[in-house]
Amino acid sequence: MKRNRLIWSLTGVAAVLGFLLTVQLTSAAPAPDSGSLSSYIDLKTEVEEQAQEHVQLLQQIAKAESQVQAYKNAKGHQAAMMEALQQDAATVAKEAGLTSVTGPGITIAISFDPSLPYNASTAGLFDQDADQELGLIVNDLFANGAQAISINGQRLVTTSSIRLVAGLGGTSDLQVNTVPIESPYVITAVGDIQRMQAILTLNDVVTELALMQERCTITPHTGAEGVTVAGYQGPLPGNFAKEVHNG
Amino acid sequence: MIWLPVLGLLVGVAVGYVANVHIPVMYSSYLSIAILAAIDTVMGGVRASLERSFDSTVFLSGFFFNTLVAALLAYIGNQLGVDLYLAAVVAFGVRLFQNIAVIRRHVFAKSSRRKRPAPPVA
Repeated sequence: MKRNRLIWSLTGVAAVLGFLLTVQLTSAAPAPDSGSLSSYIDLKTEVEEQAQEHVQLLQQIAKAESQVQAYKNAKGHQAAMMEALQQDAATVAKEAGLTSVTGPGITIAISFDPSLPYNASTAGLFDQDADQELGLIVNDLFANGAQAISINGQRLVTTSSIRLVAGLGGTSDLQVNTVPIESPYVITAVGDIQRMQAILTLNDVVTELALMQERCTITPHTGAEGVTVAGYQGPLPGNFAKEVHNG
Repeated sequence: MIWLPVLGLLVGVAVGYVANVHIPVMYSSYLSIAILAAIDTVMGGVRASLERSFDSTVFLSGFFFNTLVAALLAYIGNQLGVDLYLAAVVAFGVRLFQNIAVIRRHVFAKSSRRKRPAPPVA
């Protein structure tokens, strides 16, 4: 009786063990040698990163394939080819921030307000690092759901700059996209209103600016009309490239 | 009857192949630890049977419990950023070799008893 129990227990356990071994061997193919990884955690992180990169590359391949298909379909039809190219140009222009964007979003108005409590150690500091303050705010917005942002109508794109430029008279000018802007500064952002408001609240932006006697007013604009962020109007990279017209 | 565990192992392997279950790479390390725990339990069971102290309840509960706890330990270690799975690897590894050594001695003792000629009858 006892021997029977032993045999059947071993049989059951051996079956489970065989199943586990097979699953493990068929699931985890040996990874190629990728240098000296200090621990399992490094390897795990690398695998996760590779998996994410793989997904991104698959998306890029799918996008490129659809583009190639569009070109193939337009082959021999000049009008269709032109339409496909125009669609591409429109997509690229939208991604580059050259077209205006309208939708739900927020506006952040920052202006000097002498009625705010005066703090000797922080009052007036905003004028000295306005570029950094605005840079932090727009970075937070971009990282938290903003699709398009402009400061006083200047659209922020990948080549944009926010600079504080000192003049000869000792005054400083804030420049966005090398265009001087003046207070009140109005940041307009289209995107996820809740997430953008949340990060501003989390970072206590209103209170921090108030310490510098700057009033910060955040206004949400819900609905389809929402706010409009104008397209980038400044110079584009690649000035040396010239359009060629043949015939 | 002794071939039944071997048959069980083959059945398990066959089911594994037919079922074609694929676990994500990130979880494969947990399964590795679980398999180590399972092999350790099997060796412990074989040793207990040779020592005539086998208890099927202890054996089966140990198999599943050790397997789950080992995988859980690896998971918790991973979440904490500490290589806790090493504790399971060392514990099960050491015990596995001890059990194998005891089993080997039992087998040798058994075979030598068989080979020894029976004492002459006066």
